Amino acid sequence: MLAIEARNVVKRFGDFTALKSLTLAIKKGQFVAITGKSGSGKSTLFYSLSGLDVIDSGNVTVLGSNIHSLTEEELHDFRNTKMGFVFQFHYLVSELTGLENILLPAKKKNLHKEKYDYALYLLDYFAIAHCKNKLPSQMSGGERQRVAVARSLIMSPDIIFADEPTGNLDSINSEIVMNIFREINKKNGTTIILITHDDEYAHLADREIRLKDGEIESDISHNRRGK
Amino acid sequence: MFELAIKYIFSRKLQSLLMLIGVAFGCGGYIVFTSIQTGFQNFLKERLIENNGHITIRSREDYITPASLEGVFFKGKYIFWITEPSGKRSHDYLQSAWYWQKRLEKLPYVVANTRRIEATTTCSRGSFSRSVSLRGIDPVNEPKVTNITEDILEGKLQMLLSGNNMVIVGVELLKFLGAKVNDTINIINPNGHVYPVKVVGIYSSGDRRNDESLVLGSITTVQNILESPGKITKIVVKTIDANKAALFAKELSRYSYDKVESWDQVNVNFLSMTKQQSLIRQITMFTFILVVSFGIYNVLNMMVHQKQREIAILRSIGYTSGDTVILFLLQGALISVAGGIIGLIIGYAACSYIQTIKLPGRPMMVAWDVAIYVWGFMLVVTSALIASFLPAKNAGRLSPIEIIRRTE
Repeated sequence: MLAIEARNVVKRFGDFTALKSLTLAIKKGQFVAITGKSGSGKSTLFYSLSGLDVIDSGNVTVLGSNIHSLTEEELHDFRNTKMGFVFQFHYLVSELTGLENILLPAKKKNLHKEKYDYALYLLDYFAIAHCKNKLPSQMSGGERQRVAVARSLIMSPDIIFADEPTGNLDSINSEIVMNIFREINKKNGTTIILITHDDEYAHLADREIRLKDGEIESDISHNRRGK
Repeated sequence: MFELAIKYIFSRKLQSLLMLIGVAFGCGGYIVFTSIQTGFQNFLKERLIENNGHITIRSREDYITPASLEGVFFKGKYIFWITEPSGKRSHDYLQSAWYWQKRLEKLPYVVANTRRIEATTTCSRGSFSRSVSLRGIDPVNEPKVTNITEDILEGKLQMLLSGNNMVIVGVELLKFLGAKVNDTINIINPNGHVYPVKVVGIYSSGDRRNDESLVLGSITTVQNILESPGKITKIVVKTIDANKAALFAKELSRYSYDKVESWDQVNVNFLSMTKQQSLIRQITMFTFILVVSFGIYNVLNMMVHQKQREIAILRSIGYTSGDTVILFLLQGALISVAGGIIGLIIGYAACSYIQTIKLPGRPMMVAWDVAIYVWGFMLVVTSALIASFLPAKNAGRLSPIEIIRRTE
């Protein structure tokens, strides 16, 4: 079954066409890395596939739903329950503790009590249990990004969209975060869409899609997993 | 959202505190200003009503003009007046006082009525003399219509009935004449006849004009002095509701050609002055609350700007634009309600203190009206909510993707 199917997706910014009738399909449980140089359209594709941005033409089906035809309410609900997001910047709410940040998506659905134990598990699993009651300002960069990853997992989403999640991290923390993604993918069968400009991390994925000028330059499947 | 709103408020303690102080002082200020002004206006209004009753009935003054004589001479003919007629056609005395009193007794909205005879005379003692207002009252019915008994400093109103030629004199007038209770003073009527009267009491209303010129006697005494037996100049009426006095007066005026006026019709200038005072207060308060609202708007707007990244992540993890609006609106609401409650306490405490301040002759007048407190609270809370709504709406309009693109 397909997790994401994009057909003839076009995204323009004025006269500039960022995505030129792009078509791709991603199977459920795949770990896909989207790479390319700056301006190649990888972030635009990321936002278009996740429904964060609107497209000019074509259609994107995520888990069987045409996300660009959903109402705002439906789209927010879809993102809350089916998708997890990790960005280059952690975007943690500075007034909330590590645990509260992780539970933030669950709170929207009033499921924070049910998800409490799972949040503690994630804190423990990502070796950030000591960050439970810490504010983001009291955590290291790696810890903040791990909290952000844990937050993306709290609703047990089917797909995780990660946009340059290691962009602001040193090599050790980058390694930790990438290992987490690999483990989530292997253990839970979560589809992972990773945007990266780092070829080394792209090679860790099952599939590597390289973009150039808004088009797919290459689409390579790797037989091996891990580094 | 509630919990997050609280966290946002406490994370920016100084900004939140400033907003809170603004709202609290806005609410407290409204209460204090309005209570003092309303208290003072009520006091003056009460004095006016309680001294002169709700409605006054007296003979109508009719001015003679060429138009008023139309049809009287040479019907249907044009009259050229060599000297235009002028003058006043009136009776100094009510012609139908008895009829009025009988009718008033039957009306459901009339609480009580009393007769008066009034004239300007001269009062003297030794070489001191002054023009005074001589008022003949019914000592039994007058206290049912006015609060005159409260103004009797010495003696009793009923002493006016203890014999002929007994008077109660204004405290300042008595001082001017150099007289005291039980002394005899002279009243010179408009015909120039001198009547010696005995001072049996002292009147003090706090209104210097009255205290310097009022002489009270029984109706019979004053009728004797004025040499007008059986004459009455006015009837003063107390109704069930002073605020409806104009309405009642209009109805009463249908019964007779006599002039029927309510207290507010008589004191139009006073009422327009109080309205002007209220307008000035409202403009001042509006300006003050506008400044407070701008403060709230600026602080929340700044907060929305500072929180753009967090708004972006909230939106990307499933929170709607409506949730974002609620998040900022809640902050405004929580601060305004908390500030409003503090303002109520400040207002109450300040009014309680102000009431203890003694002014010459009386304490500070403060109105204790729940409506002032409710209005003060509602006014600042509503203003603060409106001021919060605009930044909240802006937060709801923010596109998460635009924010992410800008910040990455």
